[in-house]
Amino acid sequence: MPENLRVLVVLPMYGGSLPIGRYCVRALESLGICLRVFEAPEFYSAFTGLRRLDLAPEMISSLEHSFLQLVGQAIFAHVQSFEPHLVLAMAQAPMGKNLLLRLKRLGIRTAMWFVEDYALFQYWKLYAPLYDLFCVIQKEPFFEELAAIGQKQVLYLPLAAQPDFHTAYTLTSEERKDYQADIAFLGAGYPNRRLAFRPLAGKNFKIWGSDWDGEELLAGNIQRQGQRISAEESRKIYCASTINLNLHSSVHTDSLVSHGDFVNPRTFELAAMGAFQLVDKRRLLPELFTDEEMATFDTVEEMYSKIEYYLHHPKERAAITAKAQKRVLACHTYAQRMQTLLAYLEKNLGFPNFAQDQPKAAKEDDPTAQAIDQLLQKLAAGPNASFEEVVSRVRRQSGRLSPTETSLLFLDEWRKLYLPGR
Amino acid sequence: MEEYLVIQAARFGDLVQTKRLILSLQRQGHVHLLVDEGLRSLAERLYPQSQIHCLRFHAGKLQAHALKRDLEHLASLPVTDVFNCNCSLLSTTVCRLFDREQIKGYRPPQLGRGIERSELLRYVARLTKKRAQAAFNLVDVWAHLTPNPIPPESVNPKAQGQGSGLGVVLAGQEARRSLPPELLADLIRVYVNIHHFRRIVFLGTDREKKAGHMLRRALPGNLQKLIDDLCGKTDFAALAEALQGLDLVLTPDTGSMHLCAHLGVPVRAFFLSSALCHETGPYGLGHGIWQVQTPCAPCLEQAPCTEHLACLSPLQSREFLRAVSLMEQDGTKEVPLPCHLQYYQNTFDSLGVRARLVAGIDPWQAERDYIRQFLHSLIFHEVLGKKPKLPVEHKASLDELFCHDSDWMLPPKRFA
Repeated sequence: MPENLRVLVVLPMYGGSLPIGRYCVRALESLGICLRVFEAPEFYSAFTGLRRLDLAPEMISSLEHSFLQLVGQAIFAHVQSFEPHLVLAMAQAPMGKNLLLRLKRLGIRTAMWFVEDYALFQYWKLYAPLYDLFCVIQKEPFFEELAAIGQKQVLYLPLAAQPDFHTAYTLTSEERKDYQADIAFLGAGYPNRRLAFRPLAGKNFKIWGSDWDGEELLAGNIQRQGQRISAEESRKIYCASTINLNLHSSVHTDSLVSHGDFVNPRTFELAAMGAFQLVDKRRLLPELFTDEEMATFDTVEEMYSKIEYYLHHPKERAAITAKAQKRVLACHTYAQRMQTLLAYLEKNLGFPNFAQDQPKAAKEDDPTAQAIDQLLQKLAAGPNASFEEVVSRVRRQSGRLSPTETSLLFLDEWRKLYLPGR
Repeated sequence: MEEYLVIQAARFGDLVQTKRLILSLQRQGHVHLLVDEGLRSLAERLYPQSQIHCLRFHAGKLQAHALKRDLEHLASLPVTDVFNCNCSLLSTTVCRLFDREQIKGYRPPQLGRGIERSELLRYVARLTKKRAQAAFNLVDVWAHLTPNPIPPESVNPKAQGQGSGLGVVLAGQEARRSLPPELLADLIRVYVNIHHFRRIVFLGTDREKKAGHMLRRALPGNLQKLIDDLCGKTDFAALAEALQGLDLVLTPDTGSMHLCAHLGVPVRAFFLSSALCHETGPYGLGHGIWQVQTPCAPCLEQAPCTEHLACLSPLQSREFLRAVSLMEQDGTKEVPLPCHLQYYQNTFDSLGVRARLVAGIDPWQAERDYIRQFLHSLIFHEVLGKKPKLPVEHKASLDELFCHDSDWMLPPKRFA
């Protein structure tokens, strides 16, 4: 992986890929990448505000278009200031066509991690060819479809866990009263899940998550009236439950186990936390976890029987859980995914702007120059960042500053006081 | 033992006026004092028990390497609290080396550029909107940044003449605050006639040499013989030596005046223009202050005077010289003063020093009492019994100053 690589991560404004984007940011930070993050969620309230305006739909539409242009300009301003070698976008990131073309002209690599089901979301058809690299969580026939529209740089990049967040949680006795259950499910009330879970209504079974409205048979199992659950709270639920059901969602009800291809993030997260799960068989699961590492089911009937089995076999649960945890920490972390992505880019595409703009190494005998270099790296300031921009970035940091940072602020104030106009 | 850092980035006079705070902290622990490089020798002389640190706060040559080295040293100090005395972006920038919770006084905001004030300093800033009614000496403002300042009477010795003659400080930082040579010459004649001084010491920097020559020419020959002109000849150490033995010093509001108070040398101070003895008068007993308070006073130092220096008029009348003479000979006598002129001597109360009117009329006396009562309740959390009588509209105006919506609705001890 190239040293001093600068990466701009563009998060989506909202949605399921947003937390995954944040895990990627943490992972890239842990790899020591010089990183800047475009916080698109900051714009989300403005976007919803536009939608609430009492205006005709075509006027709203025009405003939304202008708004997205503006967000695109803000991203480009970051590109100009940071001069990244790579812009990594998560699915639904507000990267418009014009912006992607401008980045291409500047020789800045772009990559998208499309952590969605390609069969459900179609917008990739327009945008995928505009990225240098398109990372996906599915394989064929998605690869073929991407090739057909001109995108040949495709990388299979399954989801993962973030070990510094997805860790075991020890509940207090009070929390245990709230969260403990024999069986639990956390997720949205998709049609296949509703039907599959109804026979479990009489058991010690807790359902957490949203979109369970109108589910009368399971009303006694649904917790908190179907409120959304934060990522922090999900750890308590997973770690308090003897068996976590992990049934991939489907809008179809002809087969309640959909036998789809990609593996959802919950699979990796539960494994990393050391929480036991029963997961439905997925076509891409065997290459990620062996049968010894993951308890699976092929049909809902098998799910019911394995629930009974594992409820009464704690040693087997523990053995599988330990193996799954070992595997996920060894092979399926976001840091590893990011390493894979960067290595692919380096090997297959390179970073056109990388070689010529490497900062000159600070003189070994000049500790101040070395300190400034380290600071620029920490601040994610571009190689040609102005003094004003560096000072502005220092000022935006909270808490205690280092002497080098304080020196820069002092010089700036001193200059304004005694050398006005310079 | 606790260690504290006091940041005093301002000038000569301010450094002396930080004395009550520094002595209070020295009683509780070890004090590090950060001052401008140009004030190192003075700081070492004033506060020998403190460890002095310096930065280039004022104009001159600033070297980035030296700055970083000095900041690294400051960052390494094991201090529990940092007392930043200055509403200055430079000193608050230095505070970013420390946790925000450690900072007392003025501190930087959590993010971005700017200055936040502690609760007390917020009220002090509000009071500057009614400067004519000022009632809180700067020495005490800084002292009350710590919850237990030493008693005001133990800050400076009671001033007493020491036999080496009359000192005359020729000019202050601001020319408008200084007396013209002719007036100074008249005053010197009056004081020498009464006290029979055998030596007259001119004090000032290089810049005051010309004023010294003019003053010499304005004095009669017999007094010229007594002159010892030290203008431009003293560093801080020599200035302190020169002041140390004097009987009396005539001065505008200057650093030398505060140094006299520190040394216990009596001063007769002349406050006019932007200077107010209620804010920056000499600290301690044994001093006298002539305060001019024309309707246009106090003015802003930086703004040009549009009143033809009206505040000099009361001092240029014969009535004034007569009053000076009477006051020096019999201070208890009722002395008639020209309009807008007041004479004060100091007393102490719970807050610290306060200028007590001896002669003249102070139109804001009741307001000052009211403000001090409010500050007392703010600092000591107790309400004093007797309320001063002041016009309803004046009281309402002050209450408005003290009681903002934010005081009522937001946490009281916050910085803002």
